[in-house]
Amino acid sequence: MLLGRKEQRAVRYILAPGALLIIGILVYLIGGRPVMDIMISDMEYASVKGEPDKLSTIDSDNMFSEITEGTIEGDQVAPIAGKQYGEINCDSVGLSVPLYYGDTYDILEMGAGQSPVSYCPGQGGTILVGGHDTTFFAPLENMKEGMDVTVSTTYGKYTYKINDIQIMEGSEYTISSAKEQLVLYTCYPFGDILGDRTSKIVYVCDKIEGPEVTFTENEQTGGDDDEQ
Amino acid sequence: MSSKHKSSHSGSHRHHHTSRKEIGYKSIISIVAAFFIMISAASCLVSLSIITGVCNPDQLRKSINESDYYDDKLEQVADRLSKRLESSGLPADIAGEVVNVRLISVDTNRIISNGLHGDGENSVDTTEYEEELSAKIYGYMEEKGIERNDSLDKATDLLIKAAGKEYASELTFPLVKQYGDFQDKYEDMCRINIYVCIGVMVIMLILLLFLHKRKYRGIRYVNYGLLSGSILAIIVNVILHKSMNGAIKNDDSIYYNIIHNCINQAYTQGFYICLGGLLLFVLMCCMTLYLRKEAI
Repeated sequence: MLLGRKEQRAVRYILAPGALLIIGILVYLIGGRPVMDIMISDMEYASVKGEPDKLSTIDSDNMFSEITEGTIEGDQVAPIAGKQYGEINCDSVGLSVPLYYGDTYDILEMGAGQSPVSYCPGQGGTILVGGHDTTFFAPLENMKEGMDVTVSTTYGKYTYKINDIQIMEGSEYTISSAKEQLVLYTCYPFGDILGDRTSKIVYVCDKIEGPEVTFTENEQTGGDDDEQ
Repeated sequence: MSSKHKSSHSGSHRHHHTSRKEIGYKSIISIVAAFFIMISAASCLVSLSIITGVCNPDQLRKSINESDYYDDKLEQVADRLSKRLESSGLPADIAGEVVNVRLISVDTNRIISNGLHGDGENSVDTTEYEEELSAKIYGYMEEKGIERNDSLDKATDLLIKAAGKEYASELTFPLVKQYGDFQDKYEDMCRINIYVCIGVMVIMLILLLFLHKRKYRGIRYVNYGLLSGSILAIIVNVILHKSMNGAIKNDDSIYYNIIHNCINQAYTQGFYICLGGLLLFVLMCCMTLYLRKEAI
């Protein structure tokens, strides 16, 4: 069956692009698909890393970093209010407490709370951490000068040594950016829940080791020489 | 006379052979050119879809605006502030007077804009929030006749500062930075790809026009490339859309809904861009018909 010129042209407009399309799909599968796969995995990575509650999903020991030195910067996300981002340990007195960012009553019922106006471990300033003397911070009663306290966070592992133990009145503490110190405080005397307790016992610990950290996401932590 | 006739016949026969060969070469070169036009057109359309789609911060912002993100955040921020106020001996209902959807949407949009367009710091500006909270707390103290002194002011300032930091950390949207990195990586790549592809298409068009004495024949090959390139771009877009949606977690949370919604909108737009390629093909066909009529 012979086709007319017009029909031949129409057939050419189907056959030629059709053949090209098949070759094009093959070229895409061989060359283009790997590039697209990289883009897809980058998008997946961005979505997982960008998940707002990622830091709160601490459900195993593996979630804490073992980095003990150097400088951590880049895409390190600052802790999020109300979320656990670490753990405080002092093996010699059996202290093992989850560390939360924030120090509201709710948080202190779940563990130790870091004041949001203080600094985070690795930021080089005062890290002010409170807890209830009747629950999580009860082992503090047996802590003595010279003992080591470790703070494992999602970004690094820090070791501090108790340098000073003070009993102070009121609830004001000067937060400094000059020196990294972990300050653990709780009500004093320990366990005296019926008494009217206005005193606090404060454990001042100097940094022994741990990486420096820079939060690039939001510099939400730390204030200059504030009083808490 | 008969010898002349013979010689002329054999000459014409030889000429006929050469021209067939030439036509064969021309066809092969033209098809190769059409192939490059197809690849360039498809690549150009897909890159354009990516730039205006998944790499476009406005798509993400639109997707956030269409979700329940602000209401959800409002609830979280108000709840956290209520608890902080309560723990400081202040009435929790002050929180409801301080935080509202307008404040949250303004601050969220600001961090998204700053983060994605590089217009400034990628941090939440808590000034308005802290000022509002301060006014409400001091207003309450005045109403209750509580005398202010240095110690109370200092404690109130600390409370406001801590609440401000909590507000900032609640509103922080870590995806912005990650999305920004993704955008930085692929936007420039796609833009360069578009320029290169347009360049290749122009070169191929010029080559085809030079190759064919009758211009409409050259343009016909451009049409082959454009038609197949546009269809290829649609196929690639559909595959990309499905693969990307499949790779992103699907857990019904507001966060992942925002991302899925952003991807869906981006690729719907990409589909229309590819249809634009088909429209160009139709225009080129009209031009071919016109040139053909002119030539005849």
